[in-house]
Amino acid sequence: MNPVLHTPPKITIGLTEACPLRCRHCYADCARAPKPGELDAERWIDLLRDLSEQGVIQVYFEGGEPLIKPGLVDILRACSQTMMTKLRTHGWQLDDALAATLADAGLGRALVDLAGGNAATHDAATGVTGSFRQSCDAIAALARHHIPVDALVILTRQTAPELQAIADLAAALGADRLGILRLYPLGRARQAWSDLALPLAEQMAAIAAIRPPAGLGIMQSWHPKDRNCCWQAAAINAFGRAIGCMYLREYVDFGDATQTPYNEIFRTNAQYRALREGPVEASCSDCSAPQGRPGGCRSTAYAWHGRWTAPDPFDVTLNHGIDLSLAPPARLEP
Amino acid sequence: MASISALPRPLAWNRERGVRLRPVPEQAVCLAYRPQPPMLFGLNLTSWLLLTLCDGRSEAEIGRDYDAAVREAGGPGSEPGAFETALHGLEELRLIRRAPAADAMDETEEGRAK
Repeated sequence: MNPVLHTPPKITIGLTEACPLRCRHCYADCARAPKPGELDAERWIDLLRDLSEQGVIQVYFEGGEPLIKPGLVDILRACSQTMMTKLRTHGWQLDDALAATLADAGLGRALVDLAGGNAATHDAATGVTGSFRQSCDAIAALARHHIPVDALVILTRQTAPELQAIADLAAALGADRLGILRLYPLGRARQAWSDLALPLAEQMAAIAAIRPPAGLGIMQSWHPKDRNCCWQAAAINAFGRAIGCMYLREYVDFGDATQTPYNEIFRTNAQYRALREGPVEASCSDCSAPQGRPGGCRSTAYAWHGRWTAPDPFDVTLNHGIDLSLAPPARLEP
Repeated sequence: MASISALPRPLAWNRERGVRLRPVPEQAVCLAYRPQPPMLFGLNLTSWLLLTLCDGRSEAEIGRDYDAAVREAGGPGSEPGAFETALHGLEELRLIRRAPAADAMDETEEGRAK
């Protein structure tokens, strides 16, 4: 079996691991200050220009909190000439003036995290009083400036009872989609796993109970929509390392994207190729995307089983009795 | 007697300014990025073919070249109305725009000179 794609059309960029919040579920162990070795805006602009010339046509920025990255607007403005841009944020200090600036810079879509349906839940998760208000204000400001917005929520013990409230809130603020994301055992989320994680049956019940308000699309990655995305995965972390997918951040390092063209890494790294080829031990026929690969998410499969080909325990047909409220075993080596 | 300048000029089609195509032949689709307002589209083979033909040619020329390509390929896009539907769809997505044929050719030459 060969990889589907010869070169990646889309890429995710982890711009920084600095963030003003202290989320309990943070996957990057973010700190308030940037970490040593993070690329600066000038280097990102050069790298992204190269990526565009190599065929990338969509860039998804995340962090950390990309809004506090010095030079973010310059990066967006440079990219949006030739590439669709998406930005995931907590909406930190994103008011009407900043929304107007982002729109002028050509931002194509924003994705704003909500960690609860009210200030008490959200601010407890982020560790910063007032952060709920900022996220809500950000969604409204982006919508006012005609930037399409997804609200995002990570499904945890705390957010599950509030999913309906979050969906209603997202729609009222002007988001056109709500993305419900699984909790990954990465960074601080792993350390707080027993407080955050639900058994799979409770996750499924929470998703099934949502009644989307009019005009709000729902995205989720549980059965029957548990897809193996690795076939198209391309990502670079804050330090310029090629890691394929941000959810693989603790498990792989495919090479230095500042020194080697990404397409060459994509083509030649054996581990990267094997992931994109997508061999799996078991798969769910309902969840196999026709243009992708079967078997569900490879990050969670690896986290629980230690094998890239293993079943994805977040799929009810592949879970085989794994209790997702218990943290997976530690993995010592990438 | 009407002057020549008052006669109707043939209609031509051009890509909207800044539209970038990224073929993904592995999946028989083409991604199209429209910067203003920003949006990424996935085009099937029929729309992909048509968009590449919208380079300042007149609608009649596009129709002729489209028919020839579709007939040669023997694939989708040959059913009645497919050409008009696809052309209208690209216009609705604001990936192409109408222009008088002469102007369109001027812009095409300008674009080529850059």
